[in-house]
Amino acid sequence: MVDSSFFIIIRDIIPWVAIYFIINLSLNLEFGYLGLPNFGKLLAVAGGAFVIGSVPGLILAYLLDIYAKGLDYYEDNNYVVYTIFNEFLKSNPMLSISLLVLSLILAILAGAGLGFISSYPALRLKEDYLGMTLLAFAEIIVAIGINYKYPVNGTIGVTVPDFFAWINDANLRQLVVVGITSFIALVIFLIVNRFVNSPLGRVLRAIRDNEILAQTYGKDLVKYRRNVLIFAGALAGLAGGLFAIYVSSVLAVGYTRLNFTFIPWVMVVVGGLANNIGIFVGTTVFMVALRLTDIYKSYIASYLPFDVTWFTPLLLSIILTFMLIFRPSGLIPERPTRTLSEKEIVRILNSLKNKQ
Amino acid sequence: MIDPLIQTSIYVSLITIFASMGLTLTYLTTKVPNFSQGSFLTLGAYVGVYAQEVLDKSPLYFLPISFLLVGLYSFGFYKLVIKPLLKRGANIVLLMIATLTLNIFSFSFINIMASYLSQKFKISVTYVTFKKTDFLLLGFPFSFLAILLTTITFIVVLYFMLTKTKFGIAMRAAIENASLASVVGINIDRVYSFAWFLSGALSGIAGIFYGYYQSIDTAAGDKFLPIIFATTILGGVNSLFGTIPAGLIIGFSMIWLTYSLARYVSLIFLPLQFIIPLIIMSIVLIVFPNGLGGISQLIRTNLFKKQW
Repeated sequence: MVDSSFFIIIRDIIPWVAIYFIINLSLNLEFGYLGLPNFGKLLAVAGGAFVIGSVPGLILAYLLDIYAKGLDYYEDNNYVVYTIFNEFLKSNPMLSISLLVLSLILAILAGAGLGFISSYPALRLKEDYLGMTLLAFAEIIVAIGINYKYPVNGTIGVTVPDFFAWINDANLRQLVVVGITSFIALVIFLIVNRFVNSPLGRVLRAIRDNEILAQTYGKDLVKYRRNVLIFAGALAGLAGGLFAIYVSSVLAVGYTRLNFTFIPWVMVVVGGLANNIGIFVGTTVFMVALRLTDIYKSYIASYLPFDVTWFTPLLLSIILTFMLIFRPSGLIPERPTRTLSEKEIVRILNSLKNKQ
Repeated sequence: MIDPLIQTSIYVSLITIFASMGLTLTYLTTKVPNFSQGSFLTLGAYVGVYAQEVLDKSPLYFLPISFLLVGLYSFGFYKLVIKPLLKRGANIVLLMIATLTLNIFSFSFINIMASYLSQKFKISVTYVTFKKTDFLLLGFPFSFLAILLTTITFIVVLYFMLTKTKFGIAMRAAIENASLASVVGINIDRVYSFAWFLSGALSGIAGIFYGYYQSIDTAAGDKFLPIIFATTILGGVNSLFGTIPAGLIIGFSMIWLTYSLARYVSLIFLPLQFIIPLIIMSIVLIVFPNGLGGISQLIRTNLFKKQW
């Protein structure tokens, strides 16, 4: 067995990286490839998380009819989730998995819907107004989450039912969550990478670089922008849902602009706009730095007269400022689009000749 | 004695006006919406916290200090980050990211300072309110009279400065057309520096007064930021004095409208305090993309046309 503390740290960092990687990929799609600065990334992320915080719990509440026992999913959340839901899910693996899949699909749909809503201003406003408007949209959804019982029990928050309660070994259960999160991130990376290297991806870049030219070639700007916002919103919604499942609770106050809009922006800019590998590097570097300070803060605390948690963001923001000034294209800059190799083109030409 | 609901509405409106005037100033000059305006407000508020908790003085004495300190902080950011970026021809999104970085920097900085203060002086640094040092004068809380006086002074001074002094006219010229203004010999850098200084300084004042309205924590200004944006947009981002009517509308909708709705219709409206201004903002953006300033400009140009 490897050093167990090292193992625990790795297990802690991987899902954070995976979840932020999905968020950053969606932001990169919007801004890096299409040139739409979405300063309301929090909107879809919070939407996805709120779905996970409410839908599976409410479904189970009706399924097990806890209301007949005088209990309420929100009022008696902790008791209901731990003693009734998780005990029930423990003996029903198939139901747990289908509930998980259903909830994630709903989170994706919620994200897509919110992406569609944000496309309304995005098609009409310029960068600066758009930034302020989308930021305000995100604040609205979080304010609703904080102030009302629905969807996520206001400031008290909800505990998410454990979809993997049927795995008896606690360690294994953790590993399964980490594995599934990373696997989904990998699949999304492959999909997005495929997407941006396709002719469709090149259209997006054309729109970003020269709107008028793209229009001249008959590309419908409105349609592309709306669809990309919906797709990116769906990804962010999924990331929000996965985050809620990983931390196994949803607390609306935790969904701040700083955590889910500004930090992703920083990661994307540091990593390199319009370069998915760069995004991965940026996400990993930032997340490892942030998580390690969070984990080791008690060790460093004795040497410094203030709370160390804030030291890393301070340092990272200074690094980012230098990068903005001296290397605005990021650690790994955008590369020219990969086209077919010379060999491939010759082969196609030959096959065409043969046909003639 | 006026209705306390109206009094609070006016008070919040005036805080909003201060902060959004600051935002509009930098927007007019460097054309970037400052995502960090909220942190300027928090910084100002913490100057007040230091005054009250450590020095045991009324935060109102520290208005000039907050004005200067936060002004210098904002000025420093312009000189160190925005100016080099502008020199390299950065586009608006890059500038927006720079202000977003400042937000992360300021938030961490404020948290570090706050935790340092709390460890060194054994004081509580979150959920601090200045209300305990407030007192009644002529039937009004002193903070209310103070903010009223400060606002009137600032608006008069700013108005005269922008319309009557040489520097103010140079500033307006730089706002209208920066390159043309520099051809005439106006020092654009000085104008921008001043705008950034004043932007921070006004938010610093707003920060001190914020403590008399709500308790202060390290995210106080960041929570208030969407309201500042809403006011600026409602006022028409290109109009400095458009923020005055806009601030009143936002302040009254935040306090008077929500509490009246809660009292007479349903309690369900009470948490909408922060949401109603944002809804108003969204409607304004969709119907009149130029805000209130745009409407007045529309009327003015139409009148002008009729006369000729």
